[in-house]
Amino acid sequence: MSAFDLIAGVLLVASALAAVTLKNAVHAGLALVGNFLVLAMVYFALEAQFLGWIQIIVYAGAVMVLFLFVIMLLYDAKADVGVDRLRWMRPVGAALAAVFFLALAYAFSGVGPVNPLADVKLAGGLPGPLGKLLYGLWLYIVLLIAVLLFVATVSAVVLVQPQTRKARVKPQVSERDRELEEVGK
Amino acid sequence: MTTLWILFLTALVTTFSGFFAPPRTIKALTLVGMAATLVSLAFGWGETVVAYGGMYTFDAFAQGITLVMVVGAMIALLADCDYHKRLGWPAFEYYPLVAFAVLGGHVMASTPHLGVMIVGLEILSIPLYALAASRRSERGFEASLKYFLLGAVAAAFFLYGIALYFGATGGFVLGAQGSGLVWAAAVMMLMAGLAFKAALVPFHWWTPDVYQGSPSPVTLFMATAVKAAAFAAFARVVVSVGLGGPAFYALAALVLLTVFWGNLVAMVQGEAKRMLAYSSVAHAGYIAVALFGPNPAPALGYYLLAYALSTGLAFAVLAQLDEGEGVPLRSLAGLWGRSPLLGLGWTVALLSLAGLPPLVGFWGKYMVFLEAARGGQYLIVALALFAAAIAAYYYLRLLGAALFSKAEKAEPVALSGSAPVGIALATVLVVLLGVLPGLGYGLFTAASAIIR
Repeated sequence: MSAFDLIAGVLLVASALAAVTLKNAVHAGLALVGNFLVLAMVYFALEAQFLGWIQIIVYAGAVMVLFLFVIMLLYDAKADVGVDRLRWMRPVGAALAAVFFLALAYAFSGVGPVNPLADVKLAGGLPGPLGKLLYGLWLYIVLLIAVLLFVATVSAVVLVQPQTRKARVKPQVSERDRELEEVGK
Repeated sequence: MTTLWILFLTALVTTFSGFFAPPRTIKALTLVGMAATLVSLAFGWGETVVAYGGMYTFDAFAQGITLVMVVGAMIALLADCDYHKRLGWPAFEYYPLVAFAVLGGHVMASTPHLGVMIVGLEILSIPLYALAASRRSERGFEASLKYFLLGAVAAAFFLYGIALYFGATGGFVLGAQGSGLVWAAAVMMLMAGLAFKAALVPFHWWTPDVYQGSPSPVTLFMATAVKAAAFAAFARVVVSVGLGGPAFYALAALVLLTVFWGNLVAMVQGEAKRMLAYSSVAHAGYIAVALFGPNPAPALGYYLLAYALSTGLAFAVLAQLDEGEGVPLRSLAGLWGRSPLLGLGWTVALLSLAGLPPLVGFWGKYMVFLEAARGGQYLIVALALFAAAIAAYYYLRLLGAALFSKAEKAEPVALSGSAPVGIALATVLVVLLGVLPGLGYGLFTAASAIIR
C-alpha cells in the first residue's frame, strides 16, 4: 500500500463520515463534493482518465449543484436534519461495520493483481478506446441504462405529483364561468 | 428478442399514450401488451435465444420466470379495478411503471452477466419505489422510503459483490470458478444483495412494512413478479458457484431461518396483508429449498408459478376489501355470504398456500422437497416440512376469520370491471393446475441447465 492509497483512503472515509454525520445539510453536501473529488483522483491514479473527468463534471459538478439548489430551496435545510430515533442502534451498527471491515480486510489479505486487467489496453482510459468498448461489447448494457434513466425520470415525475390531477382548464373558460356566475347572481 | 421488444414497446407506448388517453385505456393497453408477451412466449417456448454476445440469454429457465412475472402482473392489473374506483384512480404512469418493472425483471432473469443483472434489478426496483407510494398516505410514503433505502443498500452489496467477483475471476459472466477468500467474499455479497430482494431472513426486514403500506394491487405485484425475478438471479448465482463449503452453510442458514422466522412471526399478526407478507417471506424459504437439489430449475420455476397464482389470488381478494388502511381480520368476517366469488377465491388461495393436496400449492411444495431430497438434504427437507406444518395454523386462522365468524353488518361486496375476471381466472388456474399437475410442471421441465 503506497502513501497515496493511504491518504486517499483516509480522505474518502473521513469525507463520507462527514457527509452522513454533519447536522447542516449544506455542510453535508459540501463534504460529499469533497468525497467525489477524492474519488476522481483515485480514478486518475488508476489511469481511468475519462471516468475521473466524468466524476468531476457530472457528479461533483452537475449533480451536486442540483443537490445544493434543492437543499437551499427547502426551508428546512437551515435547521438540523433528521432526528435519530434509533440512537441505541449506533454502537450495534458500528460494531457490525467493524466486523464487516475486518472480514473483508482478511479476505483481501492474499490478493495479488488480477491477470485479465493487464491484457486490456485502454490507453489510460481515454474516451476513444473506451467508446469502442461501450458501443461494441457493452452495447446492451448501455441501451439498458438508457431505459433505466427513462424509468427513473418517469418514477420521479410520479413521486412529485399530487394524488389527483385536476383537469386543465383554460383561463378563458374559467373567466367565462366566473362571469356567468356573476350574471346568475 | 421478440419478448424483450414487446415488453419494451408496451412500456414505452403506454408511457406516451398516457398524455392523451385516460388511465383506464392505458391499463387496457398494458394488459394487451402482457397478453402479447404471453403469445410470444408460447411461440418461442423451449428455444434458447442468445443476443448481444450472450448478455441476453433467453433460455427455458428465463422463459418460465418471465411467464410467472407476466401472470403476476396480469392478475395485479385485472384485480385493481374496484380498488382504484373506491380510492381514486392513480396517475396513468402507474401502468407503464408496472410494464417497466416486468421488463426489468425479464432482463434480470435472462442473463448470466452480472452487469446486466444489476441494471435489470434497478429497472425492476425503481418503478416499485414509486408504485409503493402511488397512493398518497403516510403508510405509502413509509413503505416507499423503507423500500428505497434498503433496496439501495442491497444494490450496493450486490455491486460490491460484482467488483469482488471480477477481482476473483477476471470476468463478469456467471459460471467462472474462482478460489480463495476473495471468491468466497464475492459469493457472500452477491447472495446477500439478492436475498434482500427475494426477502430471505435476515434480509427481510423491509417486507412486512412495504407489503402492508403499499396499495394492495402493488403488493400483489411485488409478492409475485418481483419475487420471481429476484429468485431467477439468486438461483443463477447459487447454481453457478456451486454449493460447496461456505456457500452451502450460508444457504442452509438462510433457508432455515426464513421458513421458521417467517411462519412463526406470521402467527402473531393481526392484519391480513401483514400476515401474507410474512407468509411470502416463508415461501421464499421453500423456494430456496429447491436449490439443494441436483437440477433445481424445474422445481424452482414450478414453485414460483404455483406461489404466484396462490398468493396473487389471496392478495386480489384482499384488494377488494382494502379501504386503504390494510385489512384487519374482522373485516374478512362472513366473506362467503358477502360475495361467494371472493369467499371461494380466498378459500382456494389459502388452502393452496398451506399446501393441501388437490391444489397447485401442494404440488409446488412436493416438487421442491423432492428436489432437495434428491440432493440428499433430508434434514433440511424435514425441518422445512415441520415449518410448513406450523404455517397451516395461521392459514386456517385466516380462513376461519372469513368462514366461521359473523359479520357485524353483512353488506355484500360488489365487484365490477375486470376484477371478477381476474379472481375467477386465478381460482380456476389454482384448481386446474392442482388437479392436473403435469400440465403446469410440463412447462418447466425443459429448464434443466441454468448455467451453460
